[in-house]
Amino acid sequence: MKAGYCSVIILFCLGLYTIVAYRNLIKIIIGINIMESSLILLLIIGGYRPQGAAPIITRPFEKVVDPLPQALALTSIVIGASITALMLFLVIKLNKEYGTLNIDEIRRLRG
Amino acid sequence: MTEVIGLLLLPLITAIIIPLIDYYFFQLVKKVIVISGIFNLYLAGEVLLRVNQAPLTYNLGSWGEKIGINLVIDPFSAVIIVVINFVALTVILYSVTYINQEEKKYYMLVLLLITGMLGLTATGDLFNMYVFIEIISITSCSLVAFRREATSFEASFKYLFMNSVSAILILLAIILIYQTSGTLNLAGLVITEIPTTFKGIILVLLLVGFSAKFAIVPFHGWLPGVYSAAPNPISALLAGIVTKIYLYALIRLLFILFSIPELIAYHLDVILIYGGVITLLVGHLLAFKQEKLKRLLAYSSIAQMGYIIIGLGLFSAAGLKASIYYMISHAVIKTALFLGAGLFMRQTGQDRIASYRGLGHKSPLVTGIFTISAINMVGLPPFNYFINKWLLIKAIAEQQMIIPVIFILIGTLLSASYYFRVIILLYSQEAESNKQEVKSITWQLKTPLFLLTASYILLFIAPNLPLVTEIMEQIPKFLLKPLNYYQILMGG
Repeated sequence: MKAGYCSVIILFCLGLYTIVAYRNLIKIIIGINIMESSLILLLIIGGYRPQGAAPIITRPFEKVVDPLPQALALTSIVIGASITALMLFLVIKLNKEYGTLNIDEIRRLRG
Repeated sequence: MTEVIGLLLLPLITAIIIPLIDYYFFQLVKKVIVISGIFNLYLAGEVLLRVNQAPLTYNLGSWGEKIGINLVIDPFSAVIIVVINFVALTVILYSVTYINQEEKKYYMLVLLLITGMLGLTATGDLFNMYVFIEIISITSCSLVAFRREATSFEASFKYLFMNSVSAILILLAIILIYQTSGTLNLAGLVITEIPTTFKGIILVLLLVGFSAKFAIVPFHGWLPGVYSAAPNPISALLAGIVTKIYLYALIRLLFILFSIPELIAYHLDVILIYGGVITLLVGHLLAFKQEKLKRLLAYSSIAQMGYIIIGLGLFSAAGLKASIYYMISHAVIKTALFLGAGLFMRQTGQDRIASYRGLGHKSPLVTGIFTISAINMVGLPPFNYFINKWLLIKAIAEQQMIIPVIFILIGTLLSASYYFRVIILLYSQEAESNKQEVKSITWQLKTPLFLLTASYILLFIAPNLPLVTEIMEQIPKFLLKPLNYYQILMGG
């Protein structure tokens, strides 16, 4: 459990660092994705119960993991994928218009 | 019952069937969209009348109130739903003639955006709120990039980046709320207690996440670029209602998750009131030196969010009512101003304020409406904004605070100075040497402006209408005493 929470914090900080430190648009998108994945991991870890079975009620069970966070994790994966797709589309267009992926360069060209 | 779900499904279904209608009867597309907009406004009015008797709920999939996902419409959401539908209808009427390229995609995105906003106001579930926030951000970012120019791609990327980072913060807050309280139902959250260690973190995450979305001062940098790069009807939608919807979500969550003594213990009242003061000063001062009309309007809407935040920060029934009147009036007036600015751009083909010199003599009607809206926005007496400002100042004075009142008055003077600069330029004589012809504007483009201007008069007398006073009296009852909100759904 503890290792799980630690990795969530490390991944979140890594994503935040990538967003703040790099000027490349693709790397910024990667940073946002890392942050999002860390939150999805947090959701799953929060729903975990030691020795819990998969939450299928038709089978005999003693203890199940919390099913709600898993549903939420699926939803946020879908949302994250569509946001990433839209961002990548915009990056392709920006690269065509300005010929670069560097934020500072784009800002300078725009004037 | 059926009105509640119909309200959400109508724009969604219209958005989905547009490609089909376009394939079989392509000349019907615009009519279908306008009719669906009018019908949805009618449904919203019906919902408002019913909510005035008792709040409405709808149980999605009949899973029961406790485990299922619910739609809950209390007076606050009902009022906001009517405003969304009215502003969206005027924007759609305007777009019918204004947008000439790729109409199918445009209307699908606009209708999905409207669905997202209606869903966010009606939902009674925390995670659904997050999903609707993401629907709003995806559709609005695609619409900002709609003109397919370099600047609009850049603005759209900036907006999407800001939206997704703040959405991550909001999602983190939602996960923490779920794991400490065990429920995502807003009504259920009223009675479950969150441990104090997490409360502070959740408050900060929600505050930063949402205030980046509605552009309070340290997070306002994205806004002017986005509003000036988007097509005009979309800037009107973004400035008019999208920012208000995010504010709605924050207000709802704050009062459900925290009690008022707790909020004051976290110094949120000071943060909101002085954050609002700083926001309005920065917004007005930056608006002062803008060369382009749309950027000026964008900075002015940053400033107006400041006034709304001040009213919210009072945590009193009077302050809340003043804030909500402000939200409604600003939605209507800013939409009219942006649509008017769009007509000027169409007439002259320019976006600089200096190139609109003498337009008041060439097209008196459009300029007249713009002037009335601008005077209204400053807050001069014969219009509704004056009454809002009056209510806000009265609410502040009730709490014996003087500094925000002084800054509100300074802000009024500042906004008067830059709006009158534009008005004077519009009515001054053009130099003989560079006289230019202006394109004429069809009546279809003017109708939405007339509708919006007519609504000023309605809003002017609104604080005295019996229906409005009844609804407004009920809003603080459900917001400030969340146990009433709990009883809407769970009974007892």
